[in-house]
Amino acid sequence: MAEGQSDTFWKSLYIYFNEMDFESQLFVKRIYKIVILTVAIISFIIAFFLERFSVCVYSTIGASVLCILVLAPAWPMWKKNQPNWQQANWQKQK
Amino acid sequence: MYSITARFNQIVFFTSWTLVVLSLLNQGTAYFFKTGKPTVDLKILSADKFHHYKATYYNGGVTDWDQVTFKFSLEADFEPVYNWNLKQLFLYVNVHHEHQEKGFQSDCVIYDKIISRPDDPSTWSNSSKLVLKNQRAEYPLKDIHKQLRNATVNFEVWIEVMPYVGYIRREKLGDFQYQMPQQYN
Repeated sequence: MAEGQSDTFWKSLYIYFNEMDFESQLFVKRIYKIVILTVAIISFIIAFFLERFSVCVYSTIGASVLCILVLAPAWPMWKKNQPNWQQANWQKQK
Repeated sequence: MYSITARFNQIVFFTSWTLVVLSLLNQGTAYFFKTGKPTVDLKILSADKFHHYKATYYNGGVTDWDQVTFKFSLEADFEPVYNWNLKQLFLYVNVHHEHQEKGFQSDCVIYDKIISRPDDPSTWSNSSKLVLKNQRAEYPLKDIHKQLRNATVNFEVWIEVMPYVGYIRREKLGDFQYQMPQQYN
């Protein structure tokens, strides 16, 4: 993006929530599977003894919604380990 | 994982996959629960309005048939079928009768009822019994060949088991014979 160009509010909001650290991306990739699988297995066992399958389905969907809200947007906690970018050099290459 | 849409996509479809696997496990473990056969008892109390009917079409043609409305009482216990995979039961009473001279058969449903599963499993043994006393059949039995006088008809009680996940199956619970009256009443 060249200097002098300005983003609209919604586009800059999208860019803010889109960009996430590489370390956080690794963390998110591992943790959503662990969370959803744990909730699914434990709620299946609980629902088996209560004999109501709806308990299992609702709790799995609830855990996935929680994961989406916390892990998908790039909140400030996922932006802590920024890589060291070089300074921008706007002169033309020779 | 490099964009918000990629993360959202991965979480949503991973959840869908786990729900598919859990549903298959739900259907698979239902066979370890009781899937027995319910008991049923049907008594025909009366055959009302057993007449010879006639009707005229608007273009002048005439048609005539035999018609009868039954009243019955039914007692059933569905506890052998209740498991965590059951959504509802569809109970229907079917009349089967064979024409003696012409050699063909006919079926007619005279009563049906939807039975939902009660939510709390601890009340299944209390609420699994169905008792209908002096119940009038919803649909009459009609015969266009007018062979119903002094005929032997079979009352069959069927049940259709509808699970949350899996195949829908039909079972015949019982067979009861009945002799129709000799004359119209």
